[in-house]
Amino acid sequence: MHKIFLRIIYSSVICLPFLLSSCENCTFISDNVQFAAISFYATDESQEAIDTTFSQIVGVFTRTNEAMPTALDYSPTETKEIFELPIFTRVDTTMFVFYKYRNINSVLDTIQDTLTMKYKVNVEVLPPDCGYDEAINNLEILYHTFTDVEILQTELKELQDNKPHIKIIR
Amino acid sequence: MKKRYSNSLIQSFLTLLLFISFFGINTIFAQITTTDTTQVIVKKKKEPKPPVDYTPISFRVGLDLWSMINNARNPNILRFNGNAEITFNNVWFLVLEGGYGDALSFKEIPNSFEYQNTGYFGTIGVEYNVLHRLLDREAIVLGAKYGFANFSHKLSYAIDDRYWDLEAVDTDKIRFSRQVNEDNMAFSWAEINAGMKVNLARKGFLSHIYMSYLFKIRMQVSQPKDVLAKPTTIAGFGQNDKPVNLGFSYFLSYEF
Repeated sequence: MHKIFLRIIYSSVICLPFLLSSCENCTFISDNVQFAAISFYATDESQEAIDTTFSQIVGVFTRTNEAMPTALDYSPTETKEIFELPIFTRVDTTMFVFYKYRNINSVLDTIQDTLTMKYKVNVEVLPPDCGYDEAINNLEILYHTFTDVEILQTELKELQDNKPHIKIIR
Repeated sequence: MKKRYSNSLIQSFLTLLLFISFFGINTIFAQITTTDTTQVIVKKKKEPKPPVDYTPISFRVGLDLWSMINNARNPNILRFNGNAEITFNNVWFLVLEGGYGDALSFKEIPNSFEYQNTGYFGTIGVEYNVLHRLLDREAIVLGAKYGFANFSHKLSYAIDDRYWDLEAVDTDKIRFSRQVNEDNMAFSWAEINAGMKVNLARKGFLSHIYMSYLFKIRMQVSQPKDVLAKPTTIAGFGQNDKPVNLGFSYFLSYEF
């Protein structure tokens, strides 16, 4: 009986260095997203988002008021229910300007709206050396020029049932 | 090729160390092997168990060789662990463990980051020799400990592939990296451990030397709140990606 016990210990401990060797596995699944999803509604009570289009949506650096040289990549002829606004995670505020160009009696008219968001960014490093994951939470609206803006989710996670993070009444 | 060779060399050395410890285990099981072949069944009177003497009889200090081996395996990690224990007649052990850890992890572009965690830890607890009636110098122990760590960390990372950074790829990248520095953070955990303590010899200098290995289950008790970066690779606890993790120590101790 003692010899069997001894054999079990010997055989299990021989495997020890191999069992305890670190296995590098960088498979990591996160539901954090680094964009704020916005949808437009006709009224406060509306449950269904309306299809909307903009000529351009451009990001602005809030510290310098400097506009990005490029607009968000989407077609102005395409109508969408949800727009994904990428958050600038290096600072705690992000601003976007929404442009709509109209031609009225051969005169170019521009409608411009602004949305400024504030949030907190927490970072998690993924061991061993797999990268990092940013979690954005405490989302709030600092400034907007729309009729009304409501935060539906303060934590930016993957969308469930196409429900946006921010509801906007134009 | 070079890395594989050095990895297998280190693992072979570790296996050799473990085999050396089994010289002592042979001694343990030699003590409890019987060769009695008596056929007559004699009813023995049950003798009362002798009272256990809790007088402390020895003091040991040791160094964790497992952390040294890991230092050699991974040049980005530097850990030193030591322990001190008071033995009470080889029945109970009061154990203090402490150490220092400095862990660096990084990734190159794109989306590069560099994370460094530096700090100290300590644990205090007790271990019980479950075979104290059979073994006079060796022990198979079960124990419980409380651990705490104090550390600081810094994280620097850049994002190369999102809307805000597409321009920065060709222009000034510095303004698009983020730095997080947080100091004086506290972390604590509870630990359950099991292992063996083996005396290398009965006579001579080696009779003062003990080799012991310990398997640990560590459970988070508290961690820093309201931090910008979640701490990982904490001294004494290890990876902080799960609330419970496994650990291992291999101590070489000297008994006074």
